[in-house]
Amino acid sequence: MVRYAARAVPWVRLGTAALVVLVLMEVVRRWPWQMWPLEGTAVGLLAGATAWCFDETSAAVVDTAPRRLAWRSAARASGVVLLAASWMVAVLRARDGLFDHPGDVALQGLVAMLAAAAYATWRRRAGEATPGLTLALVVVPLLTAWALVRPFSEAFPVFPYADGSGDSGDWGTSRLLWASLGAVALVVLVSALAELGRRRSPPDTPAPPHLPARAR
Amino acid sequence: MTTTTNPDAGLTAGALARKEIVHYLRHPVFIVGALLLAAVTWSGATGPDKLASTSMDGLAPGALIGLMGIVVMASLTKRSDRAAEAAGAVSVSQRTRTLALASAIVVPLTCALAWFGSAVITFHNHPPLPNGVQFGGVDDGFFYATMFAQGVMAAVGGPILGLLIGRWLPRRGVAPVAVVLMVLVTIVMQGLFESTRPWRVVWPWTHFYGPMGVDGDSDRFVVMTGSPFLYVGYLVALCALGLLLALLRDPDADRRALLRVTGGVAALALLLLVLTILGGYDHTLVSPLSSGR
Repeated sequence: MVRYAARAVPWVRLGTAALVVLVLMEVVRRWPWQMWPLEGTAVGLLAGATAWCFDETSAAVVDTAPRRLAWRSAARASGVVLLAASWMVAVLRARDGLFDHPGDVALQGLVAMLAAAAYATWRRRAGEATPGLTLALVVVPLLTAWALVRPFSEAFPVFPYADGSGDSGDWGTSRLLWASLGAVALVVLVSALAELGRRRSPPDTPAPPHLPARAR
Repeated sequence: MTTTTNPDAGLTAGALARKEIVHYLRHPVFIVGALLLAAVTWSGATGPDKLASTSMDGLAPGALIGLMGIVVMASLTKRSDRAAEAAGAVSVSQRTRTLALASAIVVPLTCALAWFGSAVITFHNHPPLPNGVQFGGVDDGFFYATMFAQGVMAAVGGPILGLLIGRWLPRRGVAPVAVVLMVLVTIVMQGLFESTRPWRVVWPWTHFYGPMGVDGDSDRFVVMTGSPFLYVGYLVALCALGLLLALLRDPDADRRALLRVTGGVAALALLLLVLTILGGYDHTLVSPLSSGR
């Protein structure tokens, strides 16, 4: 498993992302009022980088191998551990500048990672080779732009601004949103890993002529 | 390896440009950004901020169209390259494909212009309160020029940066990381810090006014140094420079001629930058009225 993880996970990209996350949160720690949008940017980057971990560029070969998706995902999750560790260190270092909400900020990052892992694993189960690349292209700029513009901040406070005063978004509602996303993501992840709903051919059905039997 | 053999490049370029425009329009990242911009524009038009009206709303098209345009264009460039590679011997040069991709910028430009029109009308109909952003005889044109720079030019500049990334750094993950780094530097350079204010216009997105605050009133509006009119010219030159640098990647390009033009545009950009810094107000104007926040 270690050898597989060492070769399969894009460590250089993940290391870069982990480093950028640390830098972003360090900037937030120093100037929390002015630099607050970078917190949402860091959450977006965490989600994108997490999804990268599960990309299988050699899916055509690997998906026909006897190792199950759960085993491969567990090995690839070592990359997620690195990202989660960098996030927790970043939040712990910046906790005094997080307006008494370090727990909420930590939750946002962890749930974003969980949701990205769930989406990528679900798409991998469906046979998509590199869902992480696609997801990162959407989620990083989207969450970054959302953190800057904060549309619908009163009704849908994805990233409440700083202490949440005025129309900056309510932290309680935000917590509920992120917790709900986390719960949904967990269900998706577990069902994908358990390979629920996987279509199985009856034993006497011959394999399609262009595919080996194991790939069904 | 691709070979260029097309005798009728004009027709091909036109057809390819139309195709890239459709690709841009159908890109999910663009669609999400455009829908959010429409919602934000509607909200700004129906309930503008009392102290700033729509003068500070340039961030929305800048982020939702420009910033997201970086990844849209980078992925379209990659897609175009993949198609060319798969075709093997193709009839279209990299230069033609780069120009076709660049022509797709008409899509974010149109979106941003629609936002700009709406924002100008709203600013005109709902001007800021006296203790807001407009004080000391600063005319409407100053605000419109800034809104154009922050909204329209950013919506065009983002995709051009994406094209540049797609041409020179076509590695996985570069475009999303570029988005993050772009935001990091932009926040530092937007004029919040005294130390960066005099030269902040070097960066392609910055403020010329805002609630930067003074001692005792952290939300007091100020108007900063520099000319937003010349800044728009500087940004146009930067966009042209970006396009030329993307064209330079073509191995079959006439590099000497391109480098000459690129040098000329770079010199023009530098001149416009110096004029931007020297133009406009020569010191920061502070609103005489408290922000009341």
